[in-house]
Amino acid sequence: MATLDTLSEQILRILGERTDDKSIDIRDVKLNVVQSLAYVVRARYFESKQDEQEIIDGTLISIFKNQEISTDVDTGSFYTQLPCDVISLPYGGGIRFVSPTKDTKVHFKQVQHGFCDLYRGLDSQNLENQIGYYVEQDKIYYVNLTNCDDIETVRMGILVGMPDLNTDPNFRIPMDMEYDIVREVLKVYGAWAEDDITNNTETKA
Amino acid sequence: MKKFTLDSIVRDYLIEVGAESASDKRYPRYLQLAINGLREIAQAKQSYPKKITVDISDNGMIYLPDDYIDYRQIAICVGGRLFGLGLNKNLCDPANNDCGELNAPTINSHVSNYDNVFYGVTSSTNPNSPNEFGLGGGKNGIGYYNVFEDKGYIAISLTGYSFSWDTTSVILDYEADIQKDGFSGEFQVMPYDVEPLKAYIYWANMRRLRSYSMGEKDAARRDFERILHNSRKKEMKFNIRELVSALAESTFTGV
Repeated sequence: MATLDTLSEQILRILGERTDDKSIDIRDVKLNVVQSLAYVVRARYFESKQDEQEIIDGTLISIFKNQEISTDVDTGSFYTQLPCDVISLPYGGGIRFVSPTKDTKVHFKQVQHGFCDLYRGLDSQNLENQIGYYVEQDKIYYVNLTNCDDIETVRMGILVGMPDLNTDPNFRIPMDMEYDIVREVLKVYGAWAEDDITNNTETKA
Repeated sequence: MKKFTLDSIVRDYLIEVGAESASDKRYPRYLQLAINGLREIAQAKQSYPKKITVDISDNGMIYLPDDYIDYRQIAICVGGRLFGLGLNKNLCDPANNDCGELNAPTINSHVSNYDNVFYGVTSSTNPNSPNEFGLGGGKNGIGYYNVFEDKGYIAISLTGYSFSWDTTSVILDYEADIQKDGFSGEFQVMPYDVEPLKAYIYWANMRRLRSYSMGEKDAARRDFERILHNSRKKEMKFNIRELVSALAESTFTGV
């Protein structure tokens, strides 16, 4: 399996052969690799949806342990700061699970953003005595969580969760995705290189 | 007896529709549909009855419990056996007395001749006497009731035997709402209701949406009805012992 670094270096080498432009930086390529990875994961998810499955490769799930539960001073709601950006997939598929750090078998239930109002007074508002959460910008807010639950930190599984390009250099990319990612990145630089040539032509003229 | 929770049924359904995780945002929606479906099935099959003993109040009434939907029978228990009271739509709605309290609707002798229904009832302790209850006259030697659902009570008029038995309470056998206090994970679904419930979720999930054709919706509805029908048949089956017992009592099982 390749890492972000090895894949970025490979792409840089290919680009070096294809263009003389020296301004392409490894950091740019790394960013493109991450963007392409998200694109490929999303495309594959929808491919699997055609077979009515929602297949996600477990190697792409990043685990974040001991994420603190805080209290919003204005509303009194409990929330946790998301440790990274999340891929936008149907049914909230970008966040694979949130569970108490010490009880990893029980996952909280993801609910819609308008859950509290829409389900108010209905029989399902207690979620069968389970804790739920919904995403709001860069935080997740909890539903049915009380102080009595005695949960201070949570464990999160986020699809392609990368808080920073440098903090997790060993993020592993499945082998069968490597070619797709390289191709996607080269597509971007291919278009850019052509523009560069066109501009040069105009200048010479 | 093996029973299922709503949570386990919804997770089972999520597996069927190809979900990889119960953290799926569809969970609360399916859970609400499952609860709606359970109500529908419970009312169609009358599979969640309740039987409670209720004291008759001083003004001759029993108050309907919060989860009351409809009654099956109102009876008294004597000698280990239930004796049912009879419905009488002419039983008066208890009126307020001078103090604002509701009066007991007990039928007494000076009104008993009005429609001949209660004729002689108060003087009898013998339900087989032709003069008093007749043959097929609709009389009841135990007593009568009339349901005032809008006011939240059932008026009880005890007569004949029940007077002499000094009855102070009745057994209310009724169709109850499946859960009056909301669902908190403990509710147990009967095994025969699991498949109809999943078929209901499938149908309910699409029936208000425009993206499904009428054919698909209709097929889903028929699928639910078929599975519900099969489930009913499973519950109504009887074994040889029950058949022998029914024949011994000269009663057909009516399957």
